[in-house]
Amino acid sequence: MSKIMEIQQIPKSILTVLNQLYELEEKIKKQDDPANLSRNVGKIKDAFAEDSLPLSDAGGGQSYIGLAYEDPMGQPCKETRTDLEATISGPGTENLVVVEVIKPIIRAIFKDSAGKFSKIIQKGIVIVESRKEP
Amino acid sequence: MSEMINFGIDLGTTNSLVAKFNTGIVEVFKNPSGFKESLPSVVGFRNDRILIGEQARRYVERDSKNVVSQFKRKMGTTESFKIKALDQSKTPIELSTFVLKELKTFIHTGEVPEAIVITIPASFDMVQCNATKEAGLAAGFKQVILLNEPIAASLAYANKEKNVDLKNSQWIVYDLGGGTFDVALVKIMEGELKIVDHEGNNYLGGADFDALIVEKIIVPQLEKRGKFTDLLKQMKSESGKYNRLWYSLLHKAEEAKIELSNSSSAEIDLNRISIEDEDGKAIDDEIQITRSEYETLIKDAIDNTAEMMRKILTRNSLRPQDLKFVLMVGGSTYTPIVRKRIEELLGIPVNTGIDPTNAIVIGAAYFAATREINLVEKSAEKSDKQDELKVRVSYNRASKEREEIFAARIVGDIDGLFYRITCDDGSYDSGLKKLSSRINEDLPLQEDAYNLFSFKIYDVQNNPIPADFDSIQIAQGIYNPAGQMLPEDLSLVKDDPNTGDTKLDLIFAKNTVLPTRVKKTVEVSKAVMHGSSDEIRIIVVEGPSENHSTVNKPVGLLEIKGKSLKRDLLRGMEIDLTFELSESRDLTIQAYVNPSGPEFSQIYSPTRRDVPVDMLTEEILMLGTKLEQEKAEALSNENYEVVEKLDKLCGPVEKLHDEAMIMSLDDVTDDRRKLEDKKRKFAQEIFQLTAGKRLERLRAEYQAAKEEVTEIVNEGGNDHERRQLHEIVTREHTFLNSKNPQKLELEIDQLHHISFQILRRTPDFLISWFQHLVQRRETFNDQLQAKNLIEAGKKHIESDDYDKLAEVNARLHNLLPHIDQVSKEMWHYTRII
Repeated sequence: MSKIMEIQQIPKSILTVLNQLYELEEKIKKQDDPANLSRNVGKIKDAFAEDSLPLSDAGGGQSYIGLAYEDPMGQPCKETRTDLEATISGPGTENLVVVEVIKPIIRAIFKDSAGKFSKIIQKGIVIVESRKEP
Repeated sequence: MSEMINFGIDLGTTNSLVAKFNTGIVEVFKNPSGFKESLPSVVGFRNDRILIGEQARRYVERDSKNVVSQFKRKMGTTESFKIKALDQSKTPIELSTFVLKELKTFIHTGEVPEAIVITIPASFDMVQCNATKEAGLAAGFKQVILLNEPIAASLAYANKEKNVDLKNSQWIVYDLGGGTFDVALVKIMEGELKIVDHEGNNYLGGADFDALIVEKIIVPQLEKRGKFTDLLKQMKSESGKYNRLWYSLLHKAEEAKIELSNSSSAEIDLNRISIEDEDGKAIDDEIQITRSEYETLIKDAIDNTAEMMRKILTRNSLRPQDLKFVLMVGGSTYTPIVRKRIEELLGIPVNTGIDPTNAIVIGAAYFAATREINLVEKSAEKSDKQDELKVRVSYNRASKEREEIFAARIVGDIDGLFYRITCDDGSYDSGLKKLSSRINEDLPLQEDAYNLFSFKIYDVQNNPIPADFDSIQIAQGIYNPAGQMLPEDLSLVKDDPNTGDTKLDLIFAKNTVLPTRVKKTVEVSKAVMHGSSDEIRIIVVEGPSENHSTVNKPVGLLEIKGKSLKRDLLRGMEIDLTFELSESRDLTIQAYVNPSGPEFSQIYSPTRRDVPVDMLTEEILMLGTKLEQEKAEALSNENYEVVEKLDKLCGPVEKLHDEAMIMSLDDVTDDRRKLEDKKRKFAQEIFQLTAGKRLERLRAEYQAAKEEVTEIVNEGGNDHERRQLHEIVTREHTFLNSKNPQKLELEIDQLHHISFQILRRTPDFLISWFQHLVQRRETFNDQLQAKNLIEAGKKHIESDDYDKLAEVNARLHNLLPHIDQVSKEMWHYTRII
């Protein structure tokens, strides 16, 4: 079993920074990014995704985890999904799709010789709506 | 000693929690598929699944025919809830049973408690109490003890503040949660906690405050800023044009409410919510809410709760001052105005000594720790499904899809059993499903990762049943075994300012599955002026990353030439590099240079994959220099065997250089590649002769540094420094056995850093540093300032003020000529570090 499953909580301040970064990215998208801020946002995201937090292992050594957010906008929201705290807007409850993201999903990522593992650290807070299938 | 119950449950109207007392400490268990301690008391029946908690809650307002909440209010009544999907009704007892069973899955210790303490509101009558007990028994507990919620909260307080004397006193427990309000008068009578009186409002809580913020502050503001007709109605109606906005704003209002607990104002940023008025005008400003506005908004509701308390006091002929305090419970009591207003209206202190969100379950666990397990039907019926079930599974272990079907055939007695599949990363929960002999489930997969799922079978009381299969593992994307593997490391060549040589920075490790992509940021180590013939070289080489760059085979080169630059590329500027390897191992390098603004950005792609002649010549020259250096070092170490072997290489390397010099820059023959090959072979020989020696020297250097630093740390190190040293020593096996000298150098640097940290605090070190600086007084850039600082430093030494002496030293150091402060100009080959 990967060490990542032992992670219980990430400092709230780090989650706040990632949530703010997500908001920044969304705002930039809306404004055509005249100052090329998305590059800076991208670099901050990369810095978080690359082994940004230390994780002690039982052997006394040190390994690291990365943190990354995932934008669930437009994704289907089945009743089996537990990575989203969804509020349904509108009358339907079938074929729900994410139409607004208040907070993104945040995952911790751990890589070792066996491969990549991840764990949800923050559920996405979203609003979903029923979409008629074409 | 008899065994105690130890487990307690707060079976709430909106949320439920479970906790355990264990050797003096209470642990509140967390929801395994989330991060909260609480489980929403909601049960849903959708399709063939039973959903409990968060998953069910999202459907509560939209699918009331299949999803039920607030059933605690109907406990003990004959009312039941008709469930459309099941075509049958469920009683409040049955629904509460589902919640209790789900809470059992929170207990990560693997224990299955047979006895439990469950809390009930002060208002519950005998029938409601019996109904709660029945739910507990149906959930598989063989002994159920009930405890009043205000008593539980008081116990949590009494156990936390053990030195507070509560004898002969009475107090009020004020419980304002997310959706309900309860208040109770608690008294110690004949040594026992008793509830004397209580009041409540089932429809008042924090959620109402959020709605008030939207209705009374945000909506009027929106109406001022845009054109809307009946905005609030359009928001609240499920078919209304602005229904989605209602929910977005409720979230924003909740965030603002929490912020207002600590700040005097909060902003609601409408930028992120797309709001357009009826004319299509976007409204994207901020709305400011002050704490006083919010307080005015909820004042009436708080005053009403105070009124209920007054009623209790009047009924019991008490004055507020007869109460010891008002104990605050429930998340909404975090709001400062709630505390302040109650204090104002009653004139007695409120007590916020316990965590209002979990006080009741903590009290229940403390109570459970004092009650013995006394099972009526002891081990009457151990699960009759003793035989392990046999599960025959079929699914793809490796997939390129985002979803895979998991199919299984179950052999054994499956009657009355359920199964559940959850993803270990917390993203999926199938809900409880009736077990049948054949099952199928679509499992969502995370891209490019190992996806681990737990498969569990439960009996009707949600106790796990042993089976011969419990874990599903699916590797998605890059783990497809058919994927091509990289046979050798690929590394980037960089200048190494410490050694004046080059070093390798691993980009793709051997055995990486293709295709793949990596991003790196490098720094310019020497300026390249636009229009000049200088260049930056992005060189990618193939071979072990511990090797020297000249030993490995160059596979990619990207040159950023001064002639192609629009402006100067100065030292310290960053270059973003992206390396992509296709499935057929085609390498693409992209460089993105963006020094200060968006106006300057260029993307480079490699045009050549061979080493050009001029670069090759330079490399051979470099090899010759290296050879001379190594020879001199071996000579000074009296290692004559190595000197002799290196000597033999001198002639051939010189010859190689001559061959390169006469080759034309645009040579199209194979000679260039032959020359390159020869160069690599010589390089390999040189490094084989010397690399082991370098590692050996570094290992010895590390041991010496470790010894020295250990002594310094033992004498003057603080906890942090001791830990730093311990961490390095614990992982030393990883770098001492490594063939990479850079790893060792890094750790030696770390050791020196620790000792410097400690030494710089010691008076002896600071004084000798100061004296050293004073000796150089004639070289300081600002003589007057230096004179003053030296005088000040002497005074600090006399008065033993070493903090100030450290400051003086730092300032004097800054006055030294620039050349002393920076490392000497290094040799540049790639111009990147």
